[in-house]
Amino acid sequence: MGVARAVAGRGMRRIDSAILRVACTEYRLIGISLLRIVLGLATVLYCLSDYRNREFFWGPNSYDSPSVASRSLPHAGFSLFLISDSQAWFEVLFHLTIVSSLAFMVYGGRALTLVQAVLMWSLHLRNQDILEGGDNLAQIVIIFMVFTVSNAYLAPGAKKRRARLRAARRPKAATFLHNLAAYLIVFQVAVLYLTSGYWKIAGKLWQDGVAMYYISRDTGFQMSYKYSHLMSNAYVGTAVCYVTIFIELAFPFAVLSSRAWVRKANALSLEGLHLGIMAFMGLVCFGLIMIGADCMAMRDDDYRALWKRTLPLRGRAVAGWRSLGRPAAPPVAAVPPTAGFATASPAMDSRMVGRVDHD
Amino acid sequence: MTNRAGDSDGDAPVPVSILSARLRICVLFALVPVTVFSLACLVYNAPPSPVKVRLGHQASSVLEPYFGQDWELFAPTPGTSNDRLYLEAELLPKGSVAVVTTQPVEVEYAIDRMPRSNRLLPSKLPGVLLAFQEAADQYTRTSNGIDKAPKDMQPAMRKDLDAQFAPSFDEMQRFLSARAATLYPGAKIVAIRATFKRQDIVPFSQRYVAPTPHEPEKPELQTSWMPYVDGVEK
Repeated sequence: MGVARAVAGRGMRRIDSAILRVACTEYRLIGISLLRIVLGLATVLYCLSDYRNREFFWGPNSYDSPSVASRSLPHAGFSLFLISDSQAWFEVLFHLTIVSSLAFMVYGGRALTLVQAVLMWSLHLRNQDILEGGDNLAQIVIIFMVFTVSNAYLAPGAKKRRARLRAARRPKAATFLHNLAAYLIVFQVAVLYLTSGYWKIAGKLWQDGVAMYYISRDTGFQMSYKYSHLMSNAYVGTAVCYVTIFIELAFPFAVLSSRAWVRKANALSLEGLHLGIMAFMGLVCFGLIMIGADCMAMRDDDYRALWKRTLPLRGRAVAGWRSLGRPAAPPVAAVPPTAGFATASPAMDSRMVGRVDHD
Repeated sequence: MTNRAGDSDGDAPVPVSILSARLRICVLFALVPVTVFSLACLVYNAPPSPVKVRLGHQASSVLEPYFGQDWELFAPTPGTSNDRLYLEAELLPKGSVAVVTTQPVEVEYAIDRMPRSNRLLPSKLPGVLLAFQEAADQYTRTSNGIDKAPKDMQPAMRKDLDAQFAPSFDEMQRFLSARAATLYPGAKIVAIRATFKRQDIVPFSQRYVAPTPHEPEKPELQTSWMPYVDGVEK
């Protein structure tokens, strides 16, 4: 009896310490802040890319009439745009979506995230023809983000917010929910890449290394002939196909890896891939949202390490910039690179290397 | 008993004893939906398997509509052909009483190239035609399947199919009406008709053949004449 009680007690203590680990400290704060900025920006671009055609896509006289759009809504789906057929309602709501996306991008916070989620879903469900994979991910991720602290970095008052989080270092339900939501976002992105990589590796054209050739010749995604020409090259096309599959399948394992360089290399490769998609396939919003998702692969310490690595580069850039204004003086004597680095470093350190959260 | 609470930089340890019963209950209640979501998400996205056959429906009911997802991005097989959409119109030219049928005009290529005019903010218009092409593909496939069904069941099945695709064809009708109004300004348009065609991309093995092989356009689906809809934004 005594042994059983001891075992149970030990088990409970283990569970408690596990709870403490996720209820005291917010994780992935930098990744979520970057994701917030990217999601807000992508929604603004989504609206602005067809601003002049907004009535054609989402207005009361759209080709996708309100009655047809209402019939196409999924079960329990909603769109505020379908509440009224009035032109004024549409204009107010559309511009409110742009303003709220900008506010969400800049300020973040739970209330603005909720507003952003409602307006973004409304816009997406008003016309589902023009949605793509990135929008699908944004719809899911924004729901999870409602439970997160999305403005601990890169937002006005972020420093004070971090100080408050740091001061209140006791187990809280809000912190636990933040970490669960962060886990769900990372999990969702990992499932996305695993699924996408799996379907690619199962496809004959991807196995043959010619998928990129066909994609680059699809008139809907052909932004430049040079790109199509490049993908016609057997070596380049095959390499791009295989690297794409490799880094997609590697994502879940990289996220779980204890080696920081694996996480960083995978995240940066995926971001490069999506920059390419933005530039060469014209999928700007898709690419942006996916870059935001890729940001979740790295832990806060990874960002700090990357930030530190850029300090010498920034120091040199600042020194070079200053020396441009003084052509007569030798650049090294005028602004020694080490001096630039030394002055920038402590300030940046205190801002970005704030000891608040640790992954 | 104390715990470092995930800290790695030397902050003061947090005692386990400060865990309240309320927090423990909250953790329990929060972990249940998260676990259900995680499992449902794995099943939902899994490739076809006996497990998916048994649990797929339950996974869908957990995830849809708000967490519905499809990540087969350009996979398993990216498109190996380009779609073409031809628009015909029946119209009354200015000052004429006889209805004239126009020649089919291909409208998709120009729309597909629209994003090139603004690379930073590319238009989403090609997405509309992509949606129409998918609807047309699906309609054709199902319709071909109905042709193989017993004769007495075919009318009811075709009626169901038309009802299912009615929203897509309503959209097409309005979209093509707006397009026809742009193509034939001043004319009184009576009806419009769409023809979906497909042109294969030159196979990889023939990419450097000179002259470039010409792939024929294959018709996929032709709609019936649909009445022109006035008042759609252009």
